[in-house]
Amino acid sequence: MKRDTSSKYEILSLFEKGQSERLLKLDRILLTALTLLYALIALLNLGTLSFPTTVYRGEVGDGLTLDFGQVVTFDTVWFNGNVAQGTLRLEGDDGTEETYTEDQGDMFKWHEVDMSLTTRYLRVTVEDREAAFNEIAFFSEGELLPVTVLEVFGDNQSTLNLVDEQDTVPEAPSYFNGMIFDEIYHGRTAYENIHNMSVYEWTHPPLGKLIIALGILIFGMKPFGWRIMGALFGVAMVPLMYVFAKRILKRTDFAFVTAGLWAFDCMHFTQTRIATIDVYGVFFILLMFFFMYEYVRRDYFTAPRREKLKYLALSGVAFGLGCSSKWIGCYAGAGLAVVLFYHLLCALFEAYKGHDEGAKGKRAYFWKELWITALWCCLWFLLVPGAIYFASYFPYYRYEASLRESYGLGDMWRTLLKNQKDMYSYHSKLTATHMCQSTWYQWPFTFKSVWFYVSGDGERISNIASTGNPAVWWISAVGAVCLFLEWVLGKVKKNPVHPILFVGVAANYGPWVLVTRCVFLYHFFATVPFLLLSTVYLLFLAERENRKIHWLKWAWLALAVIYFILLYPAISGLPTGYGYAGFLENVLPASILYYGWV
Amino acid sequence: MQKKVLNAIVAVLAVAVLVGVGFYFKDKGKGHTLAASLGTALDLSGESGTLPEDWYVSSYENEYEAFLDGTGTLILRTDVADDLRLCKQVTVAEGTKYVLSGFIATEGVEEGRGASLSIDNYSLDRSCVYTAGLLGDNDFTETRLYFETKPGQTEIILALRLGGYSEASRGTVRFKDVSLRAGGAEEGRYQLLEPWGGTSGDDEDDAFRDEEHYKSFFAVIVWAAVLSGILLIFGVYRNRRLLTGKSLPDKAYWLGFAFIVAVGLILRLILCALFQGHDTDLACFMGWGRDIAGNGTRQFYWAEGHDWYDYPPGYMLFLGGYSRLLSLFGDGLGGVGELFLYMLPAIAADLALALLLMAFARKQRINNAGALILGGLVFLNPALLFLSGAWGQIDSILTLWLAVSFLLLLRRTEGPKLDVYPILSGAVFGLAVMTKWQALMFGPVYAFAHLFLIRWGEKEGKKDLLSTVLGALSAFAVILLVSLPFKGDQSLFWFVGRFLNASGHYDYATVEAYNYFAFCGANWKRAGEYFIPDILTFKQFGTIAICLAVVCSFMTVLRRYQAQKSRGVSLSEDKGFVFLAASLTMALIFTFGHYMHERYVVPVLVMLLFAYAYYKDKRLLLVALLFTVTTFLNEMMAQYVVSKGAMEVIRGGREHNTVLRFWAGAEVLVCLYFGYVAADMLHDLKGKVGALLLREESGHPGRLYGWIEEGLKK
Repeated sequence: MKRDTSSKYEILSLFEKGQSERLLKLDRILLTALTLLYALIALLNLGTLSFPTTVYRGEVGDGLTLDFGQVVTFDTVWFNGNVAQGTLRLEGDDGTEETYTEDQGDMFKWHEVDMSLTTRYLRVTVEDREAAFNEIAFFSEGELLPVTVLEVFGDNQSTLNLVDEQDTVPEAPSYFNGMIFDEIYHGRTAYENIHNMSVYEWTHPPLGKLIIALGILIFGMKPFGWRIMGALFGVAMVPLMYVFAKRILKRTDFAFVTAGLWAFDCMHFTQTRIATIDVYGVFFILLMFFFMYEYVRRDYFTAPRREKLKYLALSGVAFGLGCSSKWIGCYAGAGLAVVLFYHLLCALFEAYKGHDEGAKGKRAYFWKELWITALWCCLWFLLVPGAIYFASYFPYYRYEASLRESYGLGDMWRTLLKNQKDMYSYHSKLTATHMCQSTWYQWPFTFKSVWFYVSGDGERISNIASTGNPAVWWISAVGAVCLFLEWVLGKVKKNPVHPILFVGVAANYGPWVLVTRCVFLYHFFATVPFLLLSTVYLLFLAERENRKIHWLKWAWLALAVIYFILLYPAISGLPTGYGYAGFLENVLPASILYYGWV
Repeated sequence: MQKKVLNAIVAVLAVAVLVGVGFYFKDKGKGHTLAASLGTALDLSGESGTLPEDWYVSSYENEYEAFLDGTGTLILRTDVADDLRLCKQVTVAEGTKYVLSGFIATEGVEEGRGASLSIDNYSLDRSCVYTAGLLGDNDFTETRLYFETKPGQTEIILALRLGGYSEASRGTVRFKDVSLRAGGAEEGRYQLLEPWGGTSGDDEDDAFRDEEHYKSFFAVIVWAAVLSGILLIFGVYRNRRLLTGKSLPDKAYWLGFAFIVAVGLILRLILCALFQGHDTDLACFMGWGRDIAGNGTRQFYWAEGHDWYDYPPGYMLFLGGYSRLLSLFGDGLGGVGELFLYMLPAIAADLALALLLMAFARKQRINNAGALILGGLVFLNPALLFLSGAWGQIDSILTLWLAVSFLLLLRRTEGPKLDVYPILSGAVFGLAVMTKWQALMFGPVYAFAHLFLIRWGEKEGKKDLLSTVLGALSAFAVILLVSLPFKGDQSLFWFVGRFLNASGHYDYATVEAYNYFAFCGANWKRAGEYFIPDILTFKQFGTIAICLAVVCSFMTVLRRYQAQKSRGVSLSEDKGFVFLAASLTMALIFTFGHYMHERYVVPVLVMLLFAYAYYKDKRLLLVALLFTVTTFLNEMMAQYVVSKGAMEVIRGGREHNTVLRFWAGAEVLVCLYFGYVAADMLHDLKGKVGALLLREESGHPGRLYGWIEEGLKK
């Protein structure tokens, strides 16, 4: 019996027939399910909510006497530091002393220090500079020693906070209960912003840290608190990618595949679960390009002006938010300008095509519309982003104002300008090398991850490396090149999405070719969505040409999910055996994940 | 009055001189305005608690104190380790020596570089120099920084500094009596203000950067391979209709071919200039050629220190003659030109292969455009381009002899007259063996083909048998003939020992061949080591795999023989079977065998194109292109990791192994896919598996179908 070949494509036919840029019922179901699934994965083991939050802050001479209830010998002390760099002196009954100096890198985490004293009473005093601690815990052979406060020197009531949250002491210090990697800059600065302290991390604009601060305000200065906003922005990227792809391709299956591939991308997962600011920059970049696409896909001459201007304004707002989070938003903004000018140029050519009456009317309409658009852009791409950027420096103004008697608008402006100069100076002068640094042409093939965290006890190893999902990145890199070739060769029909995709890649990737400071794989984060969309778009075109390959997109998604599952222990901190870690590091083609630890 | 007049004249003259000097230096460039005023102290005056005018503070931590104490002393203080600088941008003359001097006192300066005088030009032109840093407690100490501006450098940033780049310090430091003056007359070690010039303590960073640079080149190699793959596969796919569509006129065909040749030659010339051949291989060829041309063939393999010469005598004989020919041009040769001439034989072989394939394709009723594409896929094949243009290896010569030998083998005639071509084929095969020992790996396929081409039971059977015997004899005759000049005092079959010696010369599971062993992490592992612990060594596994590959080649030839027989035609009518069998066998041996080098798979690429030209199965073309990509990368990597500089730093490192494993895995997948394609072609595997797995449509929409249909309703 001859097989009915059309039956092989029956589901495909359904998707083809159900083409719509709107979100249909199935879209809503799939979108919600995927977002919830990803949210579950992203929030799982994100960080603890059990973390000391009451702070001891003391000057030289401040201190207290602790009572262990009996003579004990502690061998390890865990210091959970706050923002300060003071030195504590610990003195036993027999006068034996130990000292501990807080380091910038050891704040908001349990810093384990080998320190041995035999005593019942322990005199703890600030020896040098201001000291600030969230908690201190004493251990004897791995056992937490119960401790009470016997006496406080002076009238600093916060002294009691040094040992008041012993129930938050975890079994072992880990990523789950402390700051990792650059959280010590961004997470700390979010805390400083809340408490009107001098800003520690000033090498990026403040908005990202303010968003982190929002999480801290809600959940407290705890790992979950400083990571939650990033994770939620990461979750929000999933529906955004879905809708973006749906608007471009008008197909439920492709939109789902795109969002799925993005959800299961390893860098999307890791980079959004850490309290750094890249996630906000990338989210707003994606958003500004999405709104710009919404604008350029509408016909210049026939689409309602109100609708067009709405999307331009939204794109401008996203641009302002992006720039205020990280300067990569400015690169992307330059890309937006290119897209916009290209769109206007196309409209210009369109307007000057014919010579009849209709064409004359078109020309008049073009110029009128151009003026409106130009003025509108000045408002939404210059003034509003400028205002957002200016406003984002609120914590700086507040802190500066608290130091002086008068602090006006001019002072704010000077504060803002100084930080811009400092930022530029920092990034242009940064010469330090880093073991995780890589080169722009290494990124699409994920040669080197950015190593956030590792901890191993000889049996199990916990590791967090920020790297791309090879199934997503490698294939996307190749696919984007193919699409570009197709476009250059004129094999694809003109579509407003082309400039969005190509400029999206060029604007987010191109600058890194010229940057001379040491750069990292996560600088490629903003480029990946555009590569991914390009490849999905190519696949969409290929499938239209040859329906036989309709399974390819599902196979791609499946491969990405398999890769994500395989790599999960290396990117999430989930402890795993050294054997499996060795497999990930040495056998599975991915990237350097453990940096010699396995 | 007179005095007043005199004073006025002096004043006017003084002003005139000053203005003149001003104009003079203005014309000379802004830099000299400072040079003119040098020798005086830099102004550190100002109210107590403020900063001197035109100076600014630069800090990473922004938790510092910086102020004047009212006596011309500047104080910098920070409790947080920082790179704290009081800076002033000044104009200088280019290419001039200067001395920055001053007194520095420190108090509790800890960590990092300490206090120093510095030129912090990083933001201007990435240059930076310091004096030796002062740490701890020091009374005012005179410190001098000798530096020289480079050509074109007219701006510098003076910095009174606590700490340095990545060398943050803390404590209190005082600076006074700071001055900048022209040097030259003063003795001292003047540091040139070049990018990174004079920054001490950067050695480790520089070494790290160098290492990273070498490592990052792996990405360039991967990009080259990936882009070549995209261009090849995409290019062929986009032009697939040309392979079977309307033909080109002959004139356009030859013009197109001339274009391909021109582009191919230019690319090879560029590659030759860029890479200048494989460090060892090409030097060997040149040295060997000159040795034979100068000292004759007799001593070549037997002279002291020549016992490692592992190439068979065929190409050596040619090299001797070729070197002599080149020597006729005198010593004027040299450099890239000479290198290119030594690459020329392999390049000529590439060209001959392209022509042969095009002629073969046209005979198999592929139109001119299709033949041209196939010719382009040979002469512009990245793997072959790199091999003959950048590396200087001769695998394409071997491939040419094999292809010629196979084609001659298939030429059979009806009637009693003895076929001379199979005998010639044997001779050419002998030549192939004498060119590279790897030809012997094609021996079984060649033998099976010979055997199954004998038309047993037919009137030509005896004639074919005789041809086969004579073919074998002619192969031996050629081998003996070619090896005779090199015999020296050895036995007639000296080359057998030499071959055995050569085959064990690289006693490794794999020698940079990205195959299954490489995928399993056995690159450069001894073949005698265990692959499966206590059960199987690499060599044993490889031997089994090679035997199985030989069985596969037998089965391929047998299957084609049966298929042809069932159609009632002779096997010699199937012009593709020997290429299919040979490429399959070699692909399997390369992928799963031991002792493999990266280039052994090269004949497969070309033979697959021959097989495609006959069978016209596009999957063969795809396999050829995929093998091209993996081989191209394999060649680039193999050459890169033994190149100067890179070898010590990155060979066997994490990045090398990652790339190696991934591409070895890809090669294994390509080989398996080829195995599937071959099996499908020979046994209709797809039809059988398809019938087993795919169910016929019942006519009723499934639950999933209904669910999706429902969901897609607006």
